[in-house]
Amino acid sequence: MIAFAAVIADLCAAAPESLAPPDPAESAAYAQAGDEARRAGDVRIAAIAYRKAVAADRDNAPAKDALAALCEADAAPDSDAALLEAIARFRAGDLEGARAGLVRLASGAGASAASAHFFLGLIALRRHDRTRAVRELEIAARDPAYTETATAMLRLARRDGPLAAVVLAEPEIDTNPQLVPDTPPTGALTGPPTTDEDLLLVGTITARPARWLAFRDVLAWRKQRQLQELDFLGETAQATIELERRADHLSLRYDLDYDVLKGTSYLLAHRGTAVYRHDIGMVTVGASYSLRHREYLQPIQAGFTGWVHAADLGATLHLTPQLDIDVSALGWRELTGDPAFSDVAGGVQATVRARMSSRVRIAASAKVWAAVYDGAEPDGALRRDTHGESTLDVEIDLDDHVIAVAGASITGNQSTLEDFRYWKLVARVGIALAFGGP
Amino acid sequence: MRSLWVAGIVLCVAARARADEARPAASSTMGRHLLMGVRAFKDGRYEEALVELRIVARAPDAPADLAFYLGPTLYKLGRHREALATFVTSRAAPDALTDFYLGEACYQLKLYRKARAVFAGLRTRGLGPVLDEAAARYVGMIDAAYQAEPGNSTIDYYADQGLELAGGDPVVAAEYLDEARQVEALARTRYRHAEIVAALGKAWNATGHAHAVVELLAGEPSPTAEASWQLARAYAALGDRAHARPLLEAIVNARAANAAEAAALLANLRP
Repeated sequence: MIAFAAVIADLCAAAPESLAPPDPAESAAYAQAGDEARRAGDVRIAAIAYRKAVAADRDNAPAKDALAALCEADAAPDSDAALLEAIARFRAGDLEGARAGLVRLASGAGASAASAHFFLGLIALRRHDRTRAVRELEIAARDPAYTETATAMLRLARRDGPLAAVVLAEPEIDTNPQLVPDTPPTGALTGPPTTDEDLLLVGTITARPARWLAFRDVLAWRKQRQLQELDFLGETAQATIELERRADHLSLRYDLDYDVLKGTSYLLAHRGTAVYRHDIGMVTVGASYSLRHREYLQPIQAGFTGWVHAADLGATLHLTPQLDIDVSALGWRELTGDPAFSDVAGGVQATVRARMSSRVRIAASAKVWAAVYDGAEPDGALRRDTHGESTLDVEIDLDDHVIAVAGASITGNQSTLEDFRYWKLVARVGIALAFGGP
Repeated sequence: MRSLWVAGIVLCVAARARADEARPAASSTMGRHLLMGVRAFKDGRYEEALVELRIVARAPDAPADLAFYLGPTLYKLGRHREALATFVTSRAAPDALTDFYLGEACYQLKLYRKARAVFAGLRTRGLGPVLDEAAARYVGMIDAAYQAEPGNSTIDYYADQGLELAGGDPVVAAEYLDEARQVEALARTRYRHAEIVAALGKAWNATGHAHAVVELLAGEPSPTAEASWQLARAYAALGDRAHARPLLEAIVNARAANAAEAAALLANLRP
């Protein structure tokens, strides 16, 4: 694109008069060349081709219009200002407003066109419009200023779409595998921890029949090497409605969870979640509330069955294009059949997400919370827990569809009751395959 | 001196263009656009030349040696990657001037080993004094740069460029990966060798260079699973069932990453 960063003013003067009789076929050939060049973001070549099309046949209205559109965009009084305004709208979450400005800039010449294609690609990506995202980002990637960033986004675009699937295979080493996902009240240990290795396989498929509607199914299978009584199968079906108006985003989600432990039904849960986000330039603020009913299917765990109300309030700071920081306050109320496991908890969470290069992403998060339980212990004291956990994940794009993943997490729980004091360390490395289409 | 050989190139293209102007094909639409393209090139109106030559390229009877015009036009416009892709996918017989532009495009893209090979080859085949002097200068500069052993960062640059381009532009990706292979061969110790040759095999398979894949990978002492898969694909594309079958069977039996594709290919191999 750099070679074509010059304006096309010299091509926007009246096309030269031709003394030859009109030649519609010749004109159509030039117009087709112009269309192809324009689609590729090759603005000067497109303008030259359209001029030739008009010169060959003054009545070729589509070619005239296309040339006029290119010239109009090129003659915009201050394309930099228009671009900045469009980017500001994009950052404020006004995708439709940003898109209108960017489309006009993208059809013009100059350095703004590459920027416009890049942001049009990001908008399409956010809307899971794979075809358009790939097209726009490919054009943007031709400009050296955008090559690296656009190439990285292209990989994401090629994994997205109305239908997207991800398969993850991840061997793990876990110092406390007894704490299976959705363990009843955190820390309900059934014995001393035993380190074990496992293989985690996760398949996710997402269908988006409309921009505002998504269905997702996640099937996770964890196979222990030694502690086979902890072999775990988790199935989550999810339906999400996503609504947006300018900077406001609202999503309503329903989750159905069904977990199996060593071939025996373990948990059936329903959850409804409402999430609201509001974009304000470099900051996105948001809040969510969820109501979940957990039903533990084995009699021994029936005391944990009940409702969970959870909420959070937080903000995401987009510090640089490569760095985001999330901070949020969390709180929940667990109501269980056995009041000894009912609690009120509150805490904070922070996550840093960094794109180290076009291929490498890192996410680190930390969460701490404290809980007070309803039911008094035999000595009359109320159980109190303090919990902390931290994770580090690295993703490396090996190609458009293959991602190497590695991570580690550490979890610790301190409690006034000795039974609920524990540590858990997990280290994992694996490979993910991600595909999107059509 | 530089202006001398540039003038030499322009004169050569102009001479070729004069010869083409005498082509009887000038009566056809395609021929007319070709003539307009070469005239625009001669006049230094490279953007107009590109428009005309693209129309020619779309024609079903586009000349096989279109790259002779299209490649230099793209080069003149600074579109070196497109020029390189045009040259290396050309169906035309080798031509000294086209190859000179190919060498130039390689040089501009920092594909120095490839540029050196092109210029050295041209000198062996014989060039006029102006172009020969320019080619000698290129070879001398590249040899001076490669007096020291290439570092891993140099290999990384070419390999990463190739891998980055592999999804969208396999032709140019193959050129970068081949450069990486050649640079890596100059290093005293192996570095990313298996990864580079496997990716190069994949890029060459994607661009229909099955013979080159066989030449590249058949002698690999310990090929990776990806390299074996690419070699199997190349043998299958060449109809060499005797070599393709055992490789494909091994991939299927090992349930390697490409097992399903290998099984499909195996099923399509005629007995």
